[in-house]
Amino acid sequence: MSLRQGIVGLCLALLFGGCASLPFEKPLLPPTRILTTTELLAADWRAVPGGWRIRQSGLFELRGLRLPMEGFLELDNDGRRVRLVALEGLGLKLFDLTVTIDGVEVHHLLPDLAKDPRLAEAVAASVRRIFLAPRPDAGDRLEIRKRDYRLTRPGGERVEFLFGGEPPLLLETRVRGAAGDWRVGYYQYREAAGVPIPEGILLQDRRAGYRLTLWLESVKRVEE
Amino acid sequence: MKYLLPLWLLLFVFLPLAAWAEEDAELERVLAGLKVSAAGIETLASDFTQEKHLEIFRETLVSQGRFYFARPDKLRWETTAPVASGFLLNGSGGKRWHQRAGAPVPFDLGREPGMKLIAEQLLAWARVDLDWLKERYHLTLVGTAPVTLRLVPRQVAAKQYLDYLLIAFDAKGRHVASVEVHEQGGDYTLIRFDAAVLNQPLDPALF
Repeated sequence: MSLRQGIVGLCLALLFGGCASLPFEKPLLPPTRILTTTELLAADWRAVPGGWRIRQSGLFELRGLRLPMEGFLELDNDGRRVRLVALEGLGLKLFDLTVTIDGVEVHHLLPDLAKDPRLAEAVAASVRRIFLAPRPDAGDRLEIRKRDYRLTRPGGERVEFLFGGEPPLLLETRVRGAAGDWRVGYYQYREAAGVPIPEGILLQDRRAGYRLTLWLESVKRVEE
Repeated sequence: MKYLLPLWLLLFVFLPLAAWAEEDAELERVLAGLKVSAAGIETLASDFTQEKHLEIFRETLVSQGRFYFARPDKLRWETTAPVASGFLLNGSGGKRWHQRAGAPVPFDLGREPGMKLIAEQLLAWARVDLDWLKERYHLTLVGTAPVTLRLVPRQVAAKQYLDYLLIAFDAKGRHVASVEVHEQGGDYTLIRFDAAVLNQPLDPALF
């Protein structure tokens, strides 16, 4: 398989896309306490005003294919957008995209990769799920369980957000419905500029059959 | 007035041509010198630091590792931080690995054009294979102490993602000391080779 085939395979897989062990520690979940939806919303690191610069490595898995990757992104929580650059081993830029909650702008795409028009949309879909949308909001219904807090969105599609730990932090987003069947888990929170940020993220798309694991190698607050 | 045309010709045609001819001759002298200096290099081991300069983020991503070369066609490119990854090449095949992907995976250059491209570049730098480089790039001499060359790709396909390379040699012209890979759009990657050890036996297990 060539580099190009591998990358295109990755991106196609993001569209059409397993099961494997979890490379992160599962969170300890102490008994819950009385909390409001507003307090939980504030615990979503993606809702903290400002922006983050994140260097990440990742692994994409689909039916035996295991494709590692490295890159850099800027998450703008206020503008709800992500600028993402993916790099190959010697530093060559594979692609450079801006992803918003409803679109994607391609700034650079290696010519070989540009031959597949679905690539940008495929990458954007994963980035959007992990960093941008859906996010919990004040209209979600709160259920306080023994070990976690669950926010459920009213409506046809099943959209849930699980919080847990002390203080409670976003642990998982689950979506199941006509638009897809996927979940994103956030693991091993550590503080960056005083804000708990996950060190590991796992996106599993059951319908497409793929799994994307991200390790956030370094996280910095954007200083304007 | 009748002297103006010949003067113009002298100033704008013949003088630049003469200058270019002089530059070409200087380049050929330097390249010939590099060929002689680098000819005796059988093995090379060095640390490397790779800096990726991303224009849009005003950010530099730094990676570090080790590089090994044994003539004619053995390479090991091993990034150790922040994430362990790399590949080794022995002839037309090898293995690559990545901390995030688990066990090393074998590859064959005949089947992987992307890997072949990277391996050929590294081999050309390590061997100081100037003929190979001249076939693929327009070479310009940027400096002589140390020798620094600017390489602009000849092929249209390569120009789509590569603006130019800047290759600097060590003070004695025996090996490449740094490579800057400039992409279209302003981003560039600087790879610096430090603490180079030449012609020392390398553990066969490295390849």
